[in-house]
Amino acid sequence: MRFRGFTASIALLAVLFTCSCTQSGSDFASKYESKSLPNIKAPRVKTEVLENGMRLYLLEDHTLPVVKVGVVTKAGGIYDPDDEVGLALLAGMLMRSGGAGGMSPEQFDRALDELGAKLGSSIGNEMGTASLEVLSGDLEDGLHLLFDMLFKPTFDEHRLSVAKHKVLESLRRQDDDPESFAGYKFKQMVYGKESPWARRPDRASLAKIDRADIVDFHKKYFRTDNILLTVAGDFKERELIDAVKMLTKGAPKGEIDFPKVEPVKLEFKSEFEGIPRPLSQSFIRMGHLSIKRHNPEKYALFLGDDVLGASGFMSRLVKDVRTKRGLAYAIWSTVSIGTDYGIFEIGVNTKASNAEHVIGMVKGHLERIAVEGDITKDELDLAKQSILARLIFQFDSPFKVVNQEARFHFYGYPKDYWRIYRDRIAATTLEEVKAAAKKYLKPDDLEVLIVGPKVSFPKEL
Amino acid sequence: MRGFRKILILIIAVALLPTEAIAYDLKDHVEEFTLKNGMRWLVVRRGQAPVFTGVVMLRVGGADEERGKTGVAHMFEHMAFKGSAKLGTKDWEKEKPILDEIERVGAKLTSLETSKDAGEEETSRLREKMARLRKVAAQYQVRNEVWEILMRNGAADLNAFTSKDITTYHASLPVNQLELWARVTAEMIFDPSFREFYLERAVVEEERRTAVENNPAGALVEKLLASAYSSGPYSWSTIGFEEDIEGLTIGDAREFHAKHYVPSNMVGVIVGDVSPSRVRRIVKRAFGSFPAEEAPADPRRKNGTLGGSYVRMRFDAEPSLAIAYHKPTLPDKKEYVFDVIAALLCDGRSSWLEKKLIYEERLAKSVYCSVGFPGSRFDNLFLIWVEPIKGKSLGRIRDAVEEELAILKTRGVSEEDLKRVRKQVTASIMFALDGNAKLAEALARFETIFGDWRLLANYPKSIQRVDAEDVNKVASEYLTVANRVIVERTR
Repeated sequence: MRFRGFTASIALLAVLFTCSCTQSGSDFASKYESKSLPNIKAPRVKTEVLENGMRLYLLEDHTLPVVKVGVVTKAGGIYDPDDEVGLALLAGMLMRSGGAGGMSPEQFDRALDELGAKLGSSIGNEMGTASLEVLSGDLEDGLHLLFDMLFKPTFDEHRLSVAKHKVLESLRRQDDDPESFAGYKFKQMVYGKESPWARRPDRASLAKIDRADIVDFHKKYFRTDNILLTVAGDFKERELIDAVKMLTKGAPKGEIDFPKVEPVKLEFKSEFEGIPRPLSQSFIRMGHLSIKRHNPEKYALFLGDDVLGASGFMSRLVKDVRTKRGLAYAIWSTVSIGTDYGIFEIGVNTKASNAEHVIGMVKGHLERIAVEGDITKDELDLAKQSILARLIFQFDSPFKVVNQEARFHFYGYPKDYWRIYRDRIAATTLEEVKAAAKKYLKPDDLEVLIVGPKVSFPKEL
Repeated sequence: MRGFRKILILIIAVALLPTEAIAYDLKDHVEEFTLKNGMRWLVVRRGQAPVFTGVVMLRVGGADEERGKTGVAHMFEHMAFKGSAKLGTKDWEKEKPILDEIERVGAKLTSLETSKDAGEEETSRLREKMARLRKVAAQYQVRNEVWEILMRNGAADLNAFTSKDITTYHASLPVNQLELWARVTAEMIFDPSFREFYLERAVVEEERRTAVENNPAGALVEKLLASAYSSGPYSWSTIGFEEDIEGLTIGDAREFHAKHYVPSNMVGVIVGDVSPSRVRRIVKRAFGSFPAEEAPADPRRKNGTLGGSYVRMRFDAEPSLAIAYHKPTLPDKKEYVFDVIAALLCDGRSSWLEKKLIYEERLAKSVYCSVGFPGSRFDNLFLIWVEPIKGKSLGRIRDAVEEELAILKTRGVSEEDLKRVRKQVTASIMFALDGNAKLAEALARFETIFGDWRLLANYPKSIQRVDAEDVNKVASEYLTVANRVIVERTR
């Protein structure tokens, strides 16, 4: 079964890329690779805005007797009061686990399991999400439960206490795994421990949160006009729209007064923190603040980051530190962009005795790209080509397609943003990449974190 | 809404006719063929987007290794990405003799490094020689070319993994790169160059440090295997023992490859927007020329099973508890009964263990059941894995689990519970068919491990047949103390 869709014009892309396949490649590759990019047929997503303001993104696909539903809502931990950190997180958990629609938690869980359906809900820093996966024969019942959860949660007291225990236990266990511990500590290093983007709940902050706080939270954010609903799979558009209209009858709507969030201060400093742990490896994180989501230089910065360490085995960090020298299994870099400043981060785990050596090597690579502007046209073309060639995978599942469109809306991009993304990536010049790397990557202002044996902490950096 | 309901009633009515059968039968969608050399292929045409997932899965994994050479299956998987005589080289004629020399020196150096009374002088002389050879070889090498070729042509999830049972190479690409994928994969699998072997061995040692040494779950898995099996193929973890990895040579990997990487020991699967006839043409050209050889036999040594033990280990992390029971694997039909038991105990928040341990008694943060640990080629373990809440007694948790299992064995399971669980398992199977990559891997797994992908297609039916008496009988026979191994990990 094929999507109903239209063929995107990719003539421009074809022109750009027939001349771009110039990698040193062996005869072997040129004999078998197809030079043309795949034809992207963007499926036509049905978008509907209900009278109550809820936005629907629908895509029928009758391949399997299954329907997937997604919910996106603007709410999150960045809005938590300073003394109630964890409020959004708990609310997200409790919506799912605390019963709904007049049912006790046990009844609600049972009703879902009887359908064999999967239902989840969670709230992150700035976005709440929920999802339902259900056999199409049970769609109506599944939707009932989903909307009960969204608009009529019970917030059972006992389950609230369970949720608090679960959160604390998860945090303890996250700290046991050096990989995730280093990730969270590094975020706090860059943003500051109290930053809305990096803080995390603890026993005291959770103790302050009671059921009434969660009820208030829910009342404030869960309004029909703050919800994007995505549906893909074996259903009928018209019927689904009617069902949603009925299920949201009487649900609240109206403007939300979002609390002001302390902006991130754009500061850079060279700093080292070592957290001693008796491990056989050092878990190293290096980096600093990066850019915001709508910065037009992001395409150039992404491409530069790909050359450095974000493109796996094509990147310089992997080729040198892993493949050529065998010093690490995991080494990577990434530029995240955010509503506020994101993070540029390099991660590597290596035998403790190699830590200092590897840090020097990584810094060297960063300097060559950021300071010396040493990036070649071939490397840039390779990075572009692989991004554009795999863009088709943004469309390989109907659920991905509807979710992508909803997220474009959420983050303030135009509907067909993928075309802009594609064209900008294709049009980025080597000079732009060098300029962005120079401007936004700062080898002299790196914050460096090591979780590992004390002997691996460098004497000077 | 009324129209909506009407349609649903129609669907349900039709669907209800045969024991709630699902309106999708995988058997109608799979085409199969076998190349002359014995390599089996499965193709599912699914045109949601002009892409495909390609999988080549081999019936070889950690279970096929010898003690002393553990980790070689996984080590070879890494080597497949190093290219062939045609891939990853600028001049094979010049590179080859240097690789041969590296193989000789590497074997000597490895045996020196792993022996207790190694001569310092000789070792460092060989190390220097190795470094020089490496430099010369590098002149002729194109680093990571396999990755680069596939990624610049749109590969989305290019990777591989090794388990106790199998080794899998997979990638998703735009459909117009099917031939490229097939050709590159055939090179990786049939004609490995073993270049950069000793560097990659160091990479794998780092991988082991992250995945086992410094990882609480990895460490527990290793201990559990050693505690459940006295000997035999499932008694060590896939990545292998540190001292074994350090001692691996090109010769070991070459020998392992020659024995196990034969066409009749592998299965290819393509799922995506491709016509089966095109797949057949391309695959025949790419994989058909490699000679037929007899598939290697399963390891002669059987698993020596240990039961009734209670093992405690220390690790600097919050505690975890693994409770495992020895059980048979497919084609034994009891496998389906264990699927039902696992769902009954652990699938969903109304499952017995989740309800009791997490919500009622607040003893645990999470509980997880697996019916195929650590693999499914041989009789295996039914595993219950609990992450306790801080301060809760592990003894109490163990008792709570036992209480639920006792109910299974005495009172048994109600029709209502059974109905729910059948539905859950059936739905999960349907959800698992979504996405080219997931379906391709599932088909490959059933065909490789059990020799019949139809077992997957028939799974919903097989689950429907499990009744309360089966559950009661199997629970009583297998979920016993004598059959059980417990590993407790505490600080």
